[in-house]
Amino acid sequence: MTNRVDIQREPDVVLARQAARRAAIEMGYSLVDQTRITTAVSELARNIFLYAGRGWMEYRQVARSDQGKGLEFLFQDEGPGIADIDLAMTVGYTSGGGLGMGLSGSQRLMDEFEIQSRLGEGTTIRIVKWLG
Amino acid sequence: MEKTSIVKIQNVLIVTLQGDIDDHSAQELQQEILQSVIHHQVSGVVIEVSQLKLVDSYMGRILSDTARMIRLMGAETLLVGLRPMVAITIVEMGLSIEGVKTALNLEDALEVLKGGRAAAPSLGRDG
Repeated sequence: MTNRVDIQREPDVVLARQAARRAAIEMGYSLVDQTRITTAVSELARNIFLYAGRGWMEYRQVARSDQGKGLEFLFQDEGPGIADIDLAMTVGYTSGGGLGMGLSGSQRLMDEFEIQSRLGEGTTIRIVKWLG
Repeated sequence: MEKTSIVKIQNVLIVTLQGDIDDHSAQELQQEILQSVIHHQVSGVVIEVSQLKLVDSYMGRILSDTARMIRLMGAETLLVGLRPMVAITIVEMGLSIEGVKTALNLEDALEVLKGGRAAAPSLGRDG
């Protein structure tokens, strides 16, 4: 089953991280992993609001034979897209009002991080934390 | 929602952050703290964060900026009570919360501000 949180206003970032924490608690993640997941979600949900204006987060439980159970989040927007993903992933780089920590920081906190973006069409970011 | 409180004890302002604070509220809170420093003419500010379950890059910047602004105004800021998992997350992300002195708890922070004990040195380059 997939759950979805629409991100259109600033308080939606808080709703996204609350939903992420609930899902992480339900699946039995440790307190540290709950915090890692929630923080990464906060960064990526904020990015949607900051750079695309609107978008959504979907999340679901996933499973893989070598990793066991995990929690996957997709962040999707139909915003301007990212011209240079390598540059956007650079610590401290920002094209807007951010800190330049959102993408690189959330990558460090999660086990998997994948980003796809097309100029003028939008951006999709997929992150996973394995229950381990 | 957040139930942040600001109380003055002697010449120290004690700010307790609570709940899930969105970016806009964090910014408003920053202004409120700065106003309170002037209004109450305090020489120290203790920001108590033990109820915060999360400090992301935005909240980290707000905390760091607030401490630097308070220093410019002539008072000193101590961040106290950061949860272990929040500290872990901040370091793993590579956030540097610059210019903020820290103490383990409120009691220690008040000792430091009275001059009885040394604070942990400022975090980051410009400390």
